[in-house]
Amino acid sequence: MNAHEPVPGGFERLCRELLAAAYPEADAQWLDEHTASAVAAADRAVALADRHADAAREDARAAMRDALSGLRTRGLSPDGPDARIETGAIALTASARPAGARFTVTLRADAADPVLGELAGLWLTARATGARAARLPVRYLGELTRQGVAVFTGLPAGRWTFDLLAHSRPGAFPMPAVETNVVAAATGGYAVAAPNGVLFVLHDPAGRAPVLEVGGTVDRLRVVWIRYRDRAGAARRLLVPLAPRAAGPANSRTGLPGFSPGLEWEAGDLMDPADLGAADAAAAADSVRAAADRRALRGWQELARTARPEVAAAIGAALAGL
Amino acid sequence: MAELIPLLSDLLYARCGFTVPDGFVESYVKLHDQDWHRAQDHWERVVRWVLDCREVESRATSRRAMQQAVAASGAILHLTPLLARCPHCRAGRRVP
Repeated sequence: MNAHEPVPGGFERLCRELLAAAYPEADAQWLDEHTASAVAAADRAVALADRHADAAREDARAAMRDALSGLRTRGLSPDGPDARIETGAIALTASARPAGARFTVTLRADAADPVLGELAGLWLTARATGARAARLPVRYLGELTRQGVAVFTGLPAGRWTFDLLAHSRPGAFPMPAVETNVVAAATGGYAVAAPNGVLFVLHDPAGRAPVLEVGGTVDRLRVVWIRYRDRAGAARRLLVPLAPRAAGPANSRTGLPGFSPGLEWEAGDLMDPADLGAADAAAAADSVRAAADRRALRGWQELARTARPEVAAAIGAALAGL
Repeated sequence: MAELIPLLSDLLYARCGFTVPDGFVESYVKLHDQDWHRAQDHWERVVRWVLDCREVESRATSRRAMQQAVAASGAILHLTPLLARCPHCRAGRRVP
């Protein structure tokens, strides 16, 4: 290997080439032996790093949950729009500012770097409760940045509480599991607002035929993907078209075959339909069959005309079979 | 990616968020005649190579990938004969 132009590969190749570069006089047997021990050392180091990182992330999550619990006890509302909670590892500052008829709430976690670094990329939900809160209990998603800041926009007035979501994956909005306890069933409603302004409302989430309504403002036809595990544990991926309307935000409804309300699920950002490729054809056909209102069907009809040929063919066939 | 590779001097702190073998930083800098700048340069090259390895890329988010790469790089450079010779210096103009 030229030491200045590495060739990507596994630990075995890298270690062998580093050793050969440092010890050009070494024979093949020496290289074999030391390469093997170097690879073993690297593998052990990665496993150790994983264990440390897992533990650090869990500590950071626990500290954040403590801070959010403290904030819930302390309270945050239009009447008390600023709060500071200090736990052992985190100092959490919350501030709410009016933005029109609604509020923007900023959470800022100050912590030493290992904790702060582990918090980056975690997602929180915010919701307003109390007499002044909106009837539909929307949860607003916010992601913690590397600086420990999460911003929630468009919150209605009320007493604001925050929860840490258990899962997060780059490139997806994590959706909280449907609460199935008695209190949740009595209060009803499941709605999540993503940071891009798209609202996900789940109708009859614990029933036999739950329906997901996706709404948002779009200037041209867009697609949103959703992923969930069904009751049999199989991964499901559906696409929901969002076509602009003459007045008001776009919305479409889709059924969720096999949806299991107790599991977290996830959704994607608004996609350009031109980005759908052959790998999406099966999901598109499944989604046509799951469409639950005329707007969704109209969106699929438009996609049958405008999507790439391999996707359009699958959509057309599914529409013909309805 | 280079801006995310930790400084050798940061790795001296126990709570830096990374794991490297005890004594790694001191011996690696000593190997480079206490030239911290040159040691850092060579360290970053190794970490970048390790980041290209499938053992790191296949199952890691970016922060986790860096934690794995730093740990593996430290082990490769400190727990093998590379403790005594830097492959970059050897490939260049001098043998430590």
